[in-house]
Amino acid sequence: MPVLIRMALRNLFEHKSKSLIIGIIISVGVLILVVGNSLMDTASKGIEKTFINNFTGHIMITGIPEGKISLFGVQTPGQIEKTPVLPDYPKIFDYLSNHPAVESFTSQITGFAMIKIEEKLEADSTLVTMLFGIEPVSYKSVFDNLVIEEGEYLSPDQKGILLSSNTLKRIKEELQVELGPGDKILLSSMGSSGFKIREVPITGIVSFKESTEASDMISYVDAQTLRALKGMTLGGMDQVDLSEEDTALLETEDMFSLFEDSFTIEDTENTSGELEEEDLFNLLALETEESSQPIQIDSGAWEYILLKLKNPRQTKRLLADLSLFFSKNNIEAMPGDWKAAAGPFSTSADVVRIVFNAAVILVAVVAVIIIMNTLVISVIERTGEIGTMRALGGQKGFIRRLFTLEIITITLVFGLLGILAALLILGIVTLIGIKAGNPFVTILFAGPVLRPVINIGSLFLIWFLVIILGILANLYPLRLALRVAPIKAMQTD
Amino acid sequence: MAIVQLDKVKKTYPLGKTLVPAVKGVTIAICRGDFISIAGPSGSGKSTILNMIGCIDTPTEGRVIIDGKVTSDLSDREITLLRHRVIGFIFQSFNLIPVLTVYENIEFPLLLGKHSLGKREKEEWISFLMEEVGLSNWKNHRPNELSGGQRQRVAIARALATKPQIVLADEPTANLDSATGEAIISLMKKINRELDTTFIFSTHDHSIVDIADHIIRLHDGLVSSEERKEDSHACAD
Repeated sequence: MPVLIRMALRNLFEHKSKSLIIGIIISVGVLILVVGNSLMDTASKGIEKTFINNFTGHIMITGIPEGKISLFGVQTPGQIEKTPVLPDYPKIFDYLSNHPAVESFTSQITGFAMIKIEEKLEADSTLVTMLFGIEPVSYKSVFDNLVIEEGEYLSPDQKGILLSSNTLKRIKEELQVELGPGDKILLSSMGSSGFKIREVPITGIVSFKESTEASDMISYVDAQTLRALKGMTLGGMDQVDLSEEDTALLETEDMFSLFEDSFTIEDTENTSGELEEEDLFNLLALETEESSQPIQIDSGAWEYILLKLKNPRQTKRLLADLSLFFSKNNIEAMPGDWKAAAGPFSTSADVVRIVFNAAVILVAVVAVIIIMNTLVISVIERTGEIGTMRALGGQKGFIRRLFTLEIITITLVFGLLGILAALLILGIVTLIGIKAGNPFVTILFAGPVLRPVINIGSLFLIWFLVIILGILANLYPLRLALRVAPIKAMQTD
Repeated sequence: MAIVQLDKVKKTYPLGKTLVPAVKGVTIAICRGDFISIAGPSGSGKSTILNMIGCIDTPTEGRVIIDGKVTSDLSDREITLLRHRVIGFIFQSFNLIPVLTVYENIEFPLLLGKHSLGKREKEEWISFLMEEVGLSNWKNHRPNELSGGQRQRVAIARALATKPQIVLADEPTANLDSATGEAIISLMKKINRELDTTFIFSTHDHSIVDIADHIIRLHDGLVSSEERKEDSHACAD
């Protein structure tokens, strides 16, 4: 064994207390890093899996937005931007239908609406729900994430809403009304073309197989209803020929007089002939032959296409393929991965990781200072030895190599011990099988039982980083060691 | 030609705000194969002169010439190389590397630079040195398992490992009892005769000063007397 390695190893044994102080700091640091990163990786993987399987798919396609777009809308600081409608939908549909990497896809519209009950119009509530306007058959083929608690799933072309059990609970709490499948609710929304209100029947009450922060806010509605609420309409393109009578009607100066008869409702208890708020809601919301199709809904208008791949590893390739396809065909659309689709919800794991890493950096700085001080004491104690080596003809390079080798040896050995201890802890955690207490924890655990993910690559990275930290901590003590003059050899007792 | 020359060498050390002169102008010449003692009371400048000859200290004034090279003209790297090739050290406190065995301590200077010795030759040379100092049976012992005299024997063998032209010994007997001290000096003299290595040692012990062939006595940083015995080496031109 080369003399340097021999000396380095024996010096570590010779100065046991200092080696142990440095070693314990390194081992504990590595242990925290490995266990922490494993739990972070587990949570990240869990969140990714949940969002891909239940909401976003592997890839989301949208129009080009004004701000940052996610499946939950366009986010710009301080304002809500309109989510763009996907242009050239049939072309994109054809491309995806024929792409070999695509397993399945569905289209979606996202919106928000306030929930009201006809009997409780005067109730002071702000019950808002997020609405996913879906095409039920393709949606179910991509995301089989719903459990029907009561009623049934939406059928194609059926008008209705699937309320989450959590939303139903909120309705009960805020409006003191028990609702179930078959009952009707009013959805109101302020779209780009003004205030809209629609009455929809509750088709079913659903819960989620894997619940997230987002899922409790979501209700599923047929796409046509949401299009109407959002004012996603087609402009009239046909030329209309008006009769002389119609033209005269439009030229009437006192427009209000035209509606005088309508505002007098004879069959109600209100005999004063004046319009009350409840009557206005009735007029706007209730389905009548006249009001059911006041404007033409754009049945091809979608905001999102969500797709799953046969092989998730091809995500990057398909993102590139799609970008190329859009640019070649001048389609103003863009693809995004699950993280872009999940938007703010995907960042929760990242935020925790950033906080964890910041804490680790802080601890690392403290550890480096402690290790540095310990090494400085060691250099001071070994001044005579260093002086002797220099007096005997040891160049500064020899001293540098010896001290560097010592710190590398100590970080290698104790870093490895830290990794082994962390693996032991993670192994014990896996064996114990800590169960997730609620759906959110289930996501963080990436399953009902915590099975920490161990990334071999990150183990080596942590080991390598600790060696680098050790070398950094050794820089100042090494500088002191290199300054030791050979004459110090003469001053030892 | 002298292997060591000191030419009007002065050395002062700062002590607080004042400068304390340790050597006040010394001129001496030491020849190859000399067995020389630098004697004098404490504070006379023995160690300072030895340190300057050993190139681990520099003069404030004057020149120190070792093997024809003026030490003050050399860089740190060159001076380290000179120390390694030309000079061997025996320290008052032995200064053995505590984590190395007797064999490894003797071998250590050979590992600090390039040498012409092959592996087998090196082993034979170290074994020879261990035999010379009487420590063949202590090959694998660590310094803390040896007596003071044994440690100094290891230090002598280590000083000879690179086959230096000069061996410097700063009060080599100071930490030893008188009998062991005399034995160490006798050993040094034996090696001096056998290997023709120049030995320069400092001491204030009168009983061992006389073993030297060439004695330089110092007093208050100046040479007070110089004595050469008949069998001492004369410097060839």
